[in-house]
Amino acid sequence: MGMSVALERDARQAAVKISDDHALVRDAQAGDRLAFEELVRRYDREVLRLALNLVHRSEDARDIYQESFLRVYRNLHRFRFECSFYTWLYRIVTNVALDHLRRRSSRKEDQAPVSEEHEGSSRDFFDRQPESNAASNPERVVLGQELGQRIQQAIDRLSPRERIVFELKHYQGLKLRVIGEMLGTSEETVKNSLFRATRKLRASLDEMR
Amino acid sequence: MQVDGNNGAASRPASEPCSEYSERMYLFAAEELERADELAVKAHAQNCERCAAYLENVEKMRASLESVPRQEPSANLLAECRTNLTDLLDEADASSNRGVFGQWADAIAPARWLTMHPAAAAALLLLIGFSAGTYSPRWFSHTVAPTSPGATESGNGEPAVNESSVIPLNDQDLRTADVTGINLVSDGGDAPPQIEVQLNAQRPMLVHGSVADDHVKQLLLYVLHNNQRFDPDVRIESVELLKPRTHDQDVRQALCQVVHTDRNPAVRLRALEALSAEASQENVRNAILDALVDDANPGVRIEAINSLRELAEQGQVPADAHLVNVLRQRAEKDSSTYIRLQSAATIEALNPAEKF
Repeated sequence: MGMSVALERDARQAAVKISDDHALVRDAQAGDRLAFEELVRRYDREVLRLALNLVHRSEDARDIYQESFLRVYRNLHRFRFECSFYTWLYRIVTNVALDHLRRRSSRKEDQAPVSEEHEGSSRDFFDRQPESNAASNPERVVLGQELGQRIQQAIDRLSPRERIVFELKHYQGLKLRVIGEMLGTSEETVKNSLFRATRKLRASLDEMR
Repeated sequence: MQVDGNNGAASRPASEPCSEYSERMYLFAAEELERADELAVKAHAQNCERCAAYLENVEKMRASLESVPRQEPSANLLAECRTNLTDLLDEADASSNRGVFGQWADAIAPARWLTMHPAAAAALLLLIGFSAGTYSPRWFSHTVAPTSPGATESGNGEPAVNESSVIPLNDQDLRTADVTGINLVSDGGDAPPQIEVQLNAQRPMLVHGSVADDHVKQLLLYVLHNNQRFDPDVRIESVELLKPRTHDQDVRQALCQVVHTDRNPAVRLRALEALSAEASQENVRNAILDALVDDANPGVRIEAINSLRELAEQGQVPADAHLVNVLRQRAEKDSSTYIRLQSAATIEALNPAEKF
């Protein structure tokens, strides 16, 4: 009962937010620059965080931020209120980030093929990890940090699309359907991308033994 | 969804779930299952060693993902992004206001091309200068000179032009007019330069006179007071032309308003430069202080602190508590090292006993 009340409240708040966003979009479409700037301020921290965690370099994250919001500004007249502004904004941001990651991954040093022969290993990387509650032991804290860095390296080796799907799913907590809407693709395709990303991640980490 | 090429449990690796449940196990791990399916998966895992191992692995992976260091954008980076975006949006606005011809001209004569071909650029400039010198007097005599005061028509059927040094501009004219260009015409002598402002209203209009003329001042002030209606280059030109008249209270007020409200940092910067000659006036000093504290653009803040330091060194500004407070905050908090250092130097100039 309590949970359903909380869900209803969340849904109401989300509806109010979408309606607020749409009012701002209408004003911005009519030429109100301040309304557009308000929209930017509502979402730009999240956009910058996403960009920063995808590309890791402040300069690159700043480029993605600027290009994304500039595209939003130039194409705002095309927004037809068929989805939330948030979804539409993220569609643009993820496209810009994808282009950016693809440009980077075309450089040789950023390519990281995943060895298929390790994918079927009967005992993978995560089997060998110690039990949780590492915080109680300083040595485990250090090991945990090392593990974190290794996983980050493995994530960086995923293909641009897999990386974005993985980031949106695991770190932004978005549903596959929403990610599909953002990337302009089907939920099924997103599922496959996420599945491939998870498998590659395991295989890649297994190589780090 | 086909999640694995293997069908039989025997041929599957130990870390994969059995084929019958593979998709649901996978969706369970991604937290995408409905409640009923979730219960079914859990019940199955209790009786299936392979799926139980898979779910355990999923939990470990989830815990491991928590240890990946996450990057949080710093306040400085966010502020920098916002400032740069504001500038880009200004440029986008200015570009869209230039219209198709302007964008076409940009495309065919980019600055880079001119830089790469200095000889061709010089020849082009000569040609433009020659053409302008030969044809512009004819053009002006054609459009400006009326045959009678007020609405006029040139002898050969050209569109009529109102010459508003003869007809005073009224509020209605100003509300509906669009400034399409400002020309400075100087005869090279000691006389104040003549200004020509082309207005696009119901009928084309040309306002001309010197900057000392009140109708020219009225028009330029109107541009500054209604800055959202005019292009940044027109606003900058207006600020520059009003610069010699900053002793006039109306002009000072308009420039202070520009410092507070204009969207374009270049216009705000020019207004601050213009006001620096009158910075001993209280309202001007307050505008400079406000720019130093509130302006998102570091260039504008630098201009503000430079003005204040100059004033302080010339002893033209009283060292009141508010001013010292603001300077002290800037010396501690401003994101620009230059502004922090200049703020400290300004306090020293105000009060040599103050130490940092």
